[in-house]
Amino acid sequence: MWTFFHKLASPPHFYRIAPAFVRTFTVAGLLLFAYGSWNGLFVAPMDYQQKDAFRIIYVHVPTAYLSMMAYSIMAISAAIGLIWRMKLAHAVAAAAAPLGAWFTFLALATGSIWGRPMWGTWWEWGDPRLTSQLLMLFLYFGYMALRSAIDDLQKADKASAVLALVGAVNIPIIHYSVYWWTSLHQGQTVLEGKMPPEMLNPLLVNILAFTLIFGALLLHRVRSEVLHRERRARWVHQLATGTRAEP
Amino acid sequence: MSDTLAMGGYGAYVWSSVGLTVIVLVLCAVQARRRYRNVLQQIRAQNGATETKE
Repeated sequence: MWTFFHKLASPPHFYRIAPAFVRTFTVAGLLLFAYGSWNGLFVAPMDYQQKDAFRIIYVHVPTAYLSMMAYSIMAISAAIGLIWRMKLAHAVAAAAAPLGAWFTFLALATGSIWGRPMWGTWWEWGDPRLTSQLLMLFLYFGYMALRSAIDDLQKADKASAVLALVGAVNIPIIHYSVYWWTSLHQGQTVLEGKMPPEMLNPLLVNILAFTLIFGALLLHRVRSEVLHRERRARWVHQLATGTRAEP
Repeated sequence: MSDTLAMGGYGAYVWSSVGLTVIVLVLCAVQARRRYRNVLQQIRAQNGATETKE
């Protein structure tokens, strides 16, 4: 078991095995996305209050969930990188940031499009859920800006890891914002079991689908990150110059 | 068919959400691939390697 993890953390080994996972996750993710979306958009019954507008949930909840998941992955990896000085951990943190930013953007945008017909407004300043989610987008931007501003990779890793960890307090705030304060945003629909199975199942399928697609994108990005970090290593030199067949 | 696509008048909201999501996912994939190519090119340039294979 430990040797498995130890090997996984070795950059050349990770580089070699990642593509198989990227391919599997992509194919499985896309198939599930097609299946879940079809059922969510066309088969699931209409919501009695929100009518067909509720169907935005099938893209909104998965992207919102992953926007926070990406931040958690980034913060936990950053912590592991800081504490155990694990090479791969910082690579994962750096790779998660741009994806997290895109998923946060999607959650905000689809939420806004959903809010327009339901709340009568695209955006409400001061709303706790909306504002804390927007803050997360800026945390991602700050993290990426900080990384790119520092030339020394090790210093960039450390500084950005601290930023990621400080910003992590925002994650529970986003999650509980709808309970702690009054928000336009509706409460937990999924976790509280308020949805009938024919509405809920496509959503669960899409959450899994988006998670797989996110996983594929993340692994793909970590692979580039590993290559960049190991650019002076012999195995990378051999790989780039073609003195050894690409794994 | 068009009734289903109209989403009871909410079609514009639902389809723009779904469309935007798909576009951004494709963009993420394109970015990830581009990043990989750039890193590989940088390493080749740095090693002074001849571009013999993609």
